Amino acid sequence: MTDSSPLLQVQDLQVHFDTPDGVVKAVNDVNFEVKKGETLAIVGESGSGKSVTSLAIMRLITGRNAGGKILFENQNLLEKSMDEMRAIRGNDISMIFQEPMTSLNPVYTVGWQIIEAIRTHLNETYKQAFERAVEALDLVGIPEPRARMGNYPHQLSGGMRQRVMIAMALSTEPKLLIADEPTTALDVTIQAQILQLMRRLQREMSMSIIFITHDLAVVAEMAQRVVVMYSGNVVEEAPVNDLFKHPRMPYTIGLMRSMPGRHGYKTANNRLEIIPGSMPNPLQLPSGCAFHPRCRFMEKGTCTSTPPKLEEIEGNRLIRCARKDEVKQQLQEEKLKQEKSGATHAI
Amino acid sequence: MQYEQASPASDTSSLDQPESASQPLLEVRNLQKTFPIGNRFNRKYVKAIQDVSFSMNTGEVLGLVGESGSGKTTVGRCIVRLIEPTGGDVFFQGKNLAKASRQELRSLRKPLQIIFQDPFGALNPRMKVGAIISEGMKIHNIAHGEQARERAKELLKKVGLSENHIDRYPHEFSGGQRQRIGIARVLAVDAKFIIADEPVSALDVSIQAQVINLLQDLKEEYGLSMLCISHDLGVVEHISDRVAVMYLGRLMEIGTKEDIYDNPRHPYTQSLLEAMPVPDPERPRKDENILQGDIPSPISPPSGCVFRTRCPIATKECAEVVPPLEEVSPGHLKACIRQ
Repeated sequence: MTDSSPLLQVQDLQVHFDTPDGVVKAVNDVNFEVKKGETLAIVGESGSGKSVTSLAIMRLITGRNAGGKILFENQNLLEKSMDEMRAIRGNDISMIFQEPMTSLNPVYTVGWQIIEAIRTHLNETYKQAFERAVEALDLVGIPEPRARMGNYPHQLSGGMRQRVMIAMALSTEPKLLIADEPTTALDVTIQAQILQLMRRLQREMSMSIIFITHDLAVVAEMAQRVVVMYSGNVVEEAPVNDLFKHPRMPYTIGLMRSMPGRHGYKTANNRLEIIPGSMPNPLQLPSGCAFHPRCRFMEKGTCTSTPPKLEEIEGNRLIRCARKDEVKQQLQEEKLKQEKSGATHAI
Repeated sequence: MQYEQASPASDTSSLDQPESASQPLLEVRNLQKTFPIGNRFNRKYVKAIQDVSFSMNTGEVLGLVGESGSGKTTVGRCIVRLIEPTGGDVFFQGKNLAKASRQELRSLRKPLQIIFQDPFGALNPRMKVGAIISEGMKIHNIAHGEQARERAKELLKKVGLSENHIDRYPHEFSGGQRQRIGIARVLAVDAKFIIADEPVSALDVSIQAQVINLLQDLKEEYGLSMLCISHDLGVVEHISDRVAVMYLGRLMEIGTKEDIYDNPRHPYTQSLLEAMPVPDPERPRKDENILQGDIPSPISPPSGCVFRTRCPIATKECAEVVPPLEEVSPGHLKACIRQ
């Protein structure tokens, strides 16, 4: 299904914001690529820069000094004029957001809104666009799509609204769909429906998806490759199976182990393993590795003086950690010790 | 743990629970809440909770799970009467909170405290942290002035903040820190029973784990009992001893954590667990088991079993009778007539 040529390449992307208190480096040197038909997940907590990255791809945010390149089918999106961008957005790249209520206009019917999107991007008559919209609603599993065309957003449930958003995003058959936390506001059973829908549509339309989320379990359900972000940097990138089996960057390890429930990692007295502290203030990033104040593998000097580089390691993976070999060794020792004492766990 | 009454406002013996062999800490019986909507010419009722009964023992953590609209938050609020229940009884330490007068309630519910979901909305932005924490102490006559301030400092340290945070305003704190302030405020009035309404839903994963650990530490240290309301099945599995599952205002299943997670007997619980995303990319995806449709409107819930419209094994009979909560094994109850 996935063919190897990249659809989107993000190279050394930087997005900085000037604030009265200084420069916020929201996205700092981000690199990744999305292949045709592939789902790439970007994981991170609030403030990691994952949403800014996606908005930058759509040029919905400029910031200062947006350095680097965003190559979509080998054309740099950062050099496009606003008119050219408008033709790409919605046509080639679509986006869905977390809040299906605020993304839809409350004073127009959903049908009107989908038709508007179609007619903006495709040269179709109202009638053709109407039929296409009904088709799109049907595709995303909305019962009685023709009747739903006349509904206002408030008449639909959260899950239905998200389906409408997806229908709108897909009505122009984009090559790339950017989904920014599309299921975070939804209940688990509705989340499962939407994830299933997205998997099915991707299969049928063979588009690429950038799936942005903070939820590692959802990543495991959706992605083929995963990019982990922290403080505006990519800290780890790996194929999904490898990442979940052997996370290498201490932050990724911490995230996986702090998941509550049976898939997490419990310490001796039934506590969750935690990452201490919180995300650093983007105005005063720590010296060296941005994660070092929270890292249990931290070594003074190595981690505190120079920022580590994103390096390629075996198995087509990237990792940003100056002590990656020591971390790997220490984890193996811990695992051995635990196996001796009888405890078993996933990571 | 002895609970001392702050101000015995009046004689509350009329609220005593009828004698029974073993008295639980909290017993909720046939709790009901309907909200009127519409206007007086077109009156309708939202049946938020219908006939919910359960009991909890001292030191126990009961997880209450369900999707939005299931009524789980309303149950929590009805227990402390932040929302007035329309029917049923709530016995706490043998006293019926649902029948108490406003004045009696003030002292009766002192040991019952809530931690709210939204750490941004739950703290008054115009009050300093010290005032937020000591307000309850003053109202319940536990400590005043300098004494209250000292105690607030102690509590701040206890929840992992620093005592010089006491003169700051809520906006100076992150979400996780604010949730800690909410926890300190609850401890300030010697709470024995905490209703934690989605305590970590608004927090990032790494911060979420910190707050869960803090709740567990404090629970052990103070011997607290807790009703943990959450839509997050992972959080509930980690923190609870027993779990209750709600759907459209009714209890579907209740049992120990192991009963619910390893041996769910109600089709709703089963589909809820099935829908939970699993952090294992190699797990085969079972798309056909996904529950279809949405939760129906609580204004006109389905007749009989409220889950039957989405239930994979519903029959005609399910539309006729409201399934009673029946024991499948000791302590494990389900409301489903199908075996």
